[in-house]
Amino acid sequence: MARTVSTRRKLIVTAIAWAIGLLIFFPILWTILTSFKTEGEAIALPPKFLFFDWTLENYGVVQERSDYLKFAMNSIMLALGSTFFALVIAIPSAWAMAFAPGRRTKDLLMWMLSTKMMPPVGALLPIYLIFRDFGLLDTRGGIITVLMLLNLPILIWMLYTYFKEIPGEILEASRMDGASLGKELLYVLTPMAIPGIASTLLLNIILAWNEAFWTLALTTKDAAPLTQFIASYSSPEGLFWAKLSAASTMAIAPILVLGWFAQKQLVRGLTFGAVK
Amino acid sequence: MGTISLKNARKAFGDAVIIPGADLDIKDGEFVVFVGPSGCGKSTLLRMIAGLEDLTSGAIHIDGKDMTNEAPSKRGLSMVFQSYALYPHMSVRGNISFGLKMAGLPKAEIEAKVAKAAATLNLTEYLDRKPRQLSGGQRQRVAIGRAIVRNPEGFLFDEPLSNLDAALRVNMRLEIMQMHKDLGATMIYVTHDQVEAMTMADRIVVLNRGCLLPDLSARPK
Repeated sequence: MARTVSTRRKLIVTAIAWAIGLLIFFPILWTILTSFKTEGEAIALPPKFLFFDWTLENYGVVQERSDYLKFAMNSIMLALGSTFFALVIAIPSAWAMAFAPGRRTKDLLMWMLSTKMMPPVGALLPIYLIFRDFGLLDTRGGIITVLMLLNLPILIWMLYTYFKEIPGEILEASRMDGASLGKELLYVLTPMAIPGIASTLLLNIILAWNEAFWTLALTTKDAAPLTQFIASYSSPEGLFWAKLSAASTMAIAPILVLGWFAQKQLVRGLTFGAVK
Repeated sequence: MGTISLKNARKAFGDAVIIPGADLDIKDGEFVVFVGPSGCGKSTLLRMIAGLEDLTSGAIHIDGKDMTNEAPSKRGLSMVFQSYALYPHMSVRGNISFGLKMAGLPKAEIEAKVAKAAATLNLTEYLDRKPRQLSGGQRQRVAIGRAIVRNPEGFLFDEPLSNLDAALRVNMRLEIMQMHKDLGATMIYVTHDQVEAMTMADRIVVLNRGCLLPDLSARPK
């Protein structure tokens, strides 16, 4: 029997949910609002919320100073590239762990996850030196490799959970039908796991887009994504809040839009298997 | 032709012995039923014959050839699973034709074979439906269609009727027996239902804790 929920209770819960949502969203909203203010109004006390002179001046200045499209292009290439290669590795890996587990599979999964617990700065020096010696600094290929490796554990974990839900008999049926390993993955497993793969892909794109530590450390100009674009607005002479906000808004806009459209898919993906 | 011989076939996971060593000769065209309580190893034995489980030791000969280490698809056997194991993202047509596609047959030939199988199984009007739009009985037919379309030497049934209701089960039982008569192929059928075993089998193999009990066909029926 369904539990009845009183209207009062619903109202309270809805209000709390909205409050938390707004609290989380507020910094982004404030950044967007600030980007339309003049530098003076941006630091005015008390701050003005909506009633200020709206201006697009900051965006003009930002675009003039640094070419947004070039940075955005790098961000897109890094996010898509690292996601693509990560999936190419993660799908077969997760397949093996879900359908042909060995005695050490659980340990292997934990070990992969443990790499995410190490502070990344611990690996910065060796990776920087490797990049320097192999001429990979400030190259798209180099940074795609790092981002791919960085998110691989999360991808494999997510896909592993999805694949676990797929009955093994279906894959065995395809084996009886004469599908080779590659064809089994391509024609049977992947199409069945499309919802799971899609949400994994989206999450990875978002993670790769937002990754700042490695992109800031390993790129300067040619392969610099939007994180560098924002970082370049913090200068020793002090911060220009309005321009920094404009740059930030431009940097997060694409991923915000993508996240908005993909949220249903993302929520489904992250709770997959919890409810049947 | 579809003779199947197990030569001291053994299966063990570490210390846990599932099948201590099975010897069995199945004649061409014979309908053999493996029967026994749950967990007696009858499904494992079937999966060993199918090639889905490796043998720990011993050998399996199909049609006189040693197939112990061959891939499942190379053994000339088709399998019908308990859960049907249809490809949920493919239409009935896609499900039935998948094996033929994997074998690389020309399109026209695939079409003809699928049409013929669908006609025998009364599936013609459902060819474009997805498995989730079918009833349990229809899904079962698709699973059988997928098996017969490859024209195998032998069929392996893993408790294929246990998910159907009683009336449908009796019907499908008759259809499978009819199919056996028509095709004359070797069939191995796993069940825990003794009535099913008695009515369908040419020969009943009783398993208990992985051991094959003495042949029952020697006794008067």
